[in-house]
Amino acid sequence: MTTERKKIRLQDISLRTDEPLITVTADDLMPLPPPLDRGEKKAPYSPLSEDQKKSYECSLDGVSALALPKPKSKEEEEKLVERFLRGLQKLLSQNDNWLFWQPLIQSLESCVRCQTCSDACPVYVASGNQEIYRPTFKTEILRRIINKYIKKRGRVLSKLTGDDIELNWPVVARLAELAYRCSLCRRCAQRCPLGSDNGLIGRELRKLFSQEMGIAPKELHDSGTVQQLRVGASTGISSAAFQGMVEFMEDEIEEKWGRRIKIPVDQEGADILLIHNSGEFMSWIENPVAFAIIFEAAGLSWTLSSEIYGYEATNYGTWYDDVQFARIAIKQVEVARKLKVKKMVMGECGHAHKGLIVIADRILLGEMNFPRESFLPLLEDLILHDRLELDPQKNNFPVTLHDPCNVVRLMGIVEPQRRILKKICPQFREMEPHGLENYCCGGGSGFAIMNSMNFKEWRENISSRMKLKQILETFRDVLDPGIRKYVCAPCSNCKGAIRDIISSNDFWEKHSIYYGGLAELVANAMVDMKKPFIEWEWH
Amino acid sequence: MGGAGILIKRLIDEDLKVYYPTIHYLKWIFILLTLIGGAFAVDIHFHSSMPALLKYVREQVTFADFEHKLHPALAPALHVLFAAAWLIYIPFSHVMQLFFRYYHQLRWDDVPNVRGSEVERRVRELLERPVTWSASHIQSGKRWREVASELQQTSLTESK
Repeated sequence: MTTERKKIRLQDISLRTDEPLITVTADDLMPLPPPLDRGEKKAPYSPLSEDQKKSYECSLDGVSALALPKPKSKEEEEKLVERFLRGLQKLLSQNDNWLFWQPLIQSLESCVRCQTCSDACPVYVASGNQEIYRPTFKTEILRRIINKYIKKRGRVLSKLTGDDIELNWPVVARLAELAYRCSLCRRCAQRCPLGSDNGLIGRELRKLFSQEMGIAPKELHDSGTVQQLRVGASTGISSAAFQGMVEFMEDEIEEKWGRRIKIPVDQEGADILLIHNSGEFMSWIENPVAFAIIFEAAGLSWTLSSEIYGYEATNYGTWYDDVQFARIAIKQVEVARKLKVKKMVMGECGHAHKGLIVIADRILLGEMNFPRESFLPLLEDLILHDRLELDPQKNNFPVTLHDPCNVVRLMGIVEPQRRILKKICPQFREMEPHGLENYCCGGGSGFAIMNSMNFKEWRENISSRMKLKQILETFRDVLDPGIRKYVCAPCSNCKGAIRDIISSNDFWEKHSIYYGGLAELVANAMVDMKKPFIEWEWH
Repeated sequence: MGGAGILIKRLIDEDLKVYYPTIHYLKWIFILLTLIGGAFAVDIHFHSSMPALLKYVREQVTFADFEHKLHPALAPALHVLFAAAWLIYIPFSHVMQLFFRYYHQLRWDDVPNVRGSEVERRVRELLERPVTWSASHIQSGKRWREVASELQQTSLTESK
């Protein structure tokens, strides 16, 4: 840690400066274990180019998640600040924000400022305790803005409760960016003695910016939810393209399993509609292939859907916009209803679990309140009751488990994945901490797919840093490149984030650290595979 | 001692002080006055004698000695006064929030939405409310139910 770091005050958020409030340097960062404890330290992120700095807001920390254009005049600034205040009023109104009003108000009011949450936050700790990344930093600023501009309590009471933030465009711009420095992992909420949820506040801030001001990362909105609602998938895959992928899957299955099967698609009346996130088909098609093999081997009655919205489990609205969230969830459930399946089962996608199973619970009524489950209890059932013929010795290499926040801490599905891995992986070892106390991969809340400007660097070197540390510590006795090791991450975005930290540190080349989902490990253990399912080829 | 310790820590520690609004110190004043008054009463007035203290409390509660009721001794009276002020202050402060963590209903309303349930009935009503948010991808003024099921998509860049 640099000894001369300027102390950032809450009021600094209003400062009109061309330079960012802070720039995180290599010396600030949390140290990493061997082999990254030595060697040249690299800066966590490069500054934006001069042109980018002229056009886009980055006065928080020199990073841009939003490509937020600078207003061209004072009038434009004032209009934006007015819209922000209007949005804040709506956020605090039960009428306008009935979906999340209750936990929001309680989180805003019940904080005793003990800062116990800060030590739980991977971004705060890994960045070297940067004040702006403290879970309560943005929340406290918000509280004081509310006290001064919304509650308007009168001079004395206002002063006593804290009203010393001057609301101007720099505050709004910085808060917009700051909302995208929290991965919504909820470690802070879990650690808080009063249950105050700073992650939720970050998420509600994002919602204010999106639903009132139309400000959100392009990857989440234009190329995310808007694309999904127009085309059927957030990756842009059309129904026709999906059907082509299914044929490719059947070829893969024949090559690896030795059997030519017809993957059931659009089968009316099946028990299970399996819904993956479309990123799996694009980047890790071996995962849906593994599911198909497992389901067929177990003789389950299941189907995929090629209908628009039916092959995409993602719902980026979970992270930033309730309206987009509701639109997508309704479309997804409608597909299952029309297909007359008995239940929807989510594949390996963290936020799809939390979004479609838990959050959507509050908007699906009557027949739309359709059974929705995780794949985990189903898979656990198959394996622990020996419905598949498996040979754990085929997985005889070090394996560790990354717990996706949305599935574990935010939903409570903790044990099935561990029971499976303990049965099929003789060298399974836990990360520390794990389970409900796991650390976010750094790619949560959409970070894994936000790659524009210098945000990817920020993610790889700051928000994913804790996970990097955990992986190195977990495999510290087997770092020899002659030993192939597997980080199991049952969530696509987690895989993406982990892939990026492995690749940017050359860990596959130098230490043979690999990564993948859970279904691949199960398929790899099946006795009747013609070829090993896991190919150990970097992608 | 604990109370004083926390107050001192809050005043001294830079990280904690920054975030602590002034009004939060008020509760510590109430608590400390009550505790100090109590310590004073027990130590000085009752000479740390438990039987004397219990006798006093019994008399007060049963109105046994009316003279004492009308003209109470200073130390215990002050303590009771401070304690009463503290109790009156509690509902006006954030201290009540402490208890919220024990009630799921109050905290997160964790009850699942089952067909035909009260939650479903309330959600049905809420979906009839108008959406007031005004970004371009939202049809402000229409009901939540309509906005969620209709698709008039505009990207954020189109609106700029």
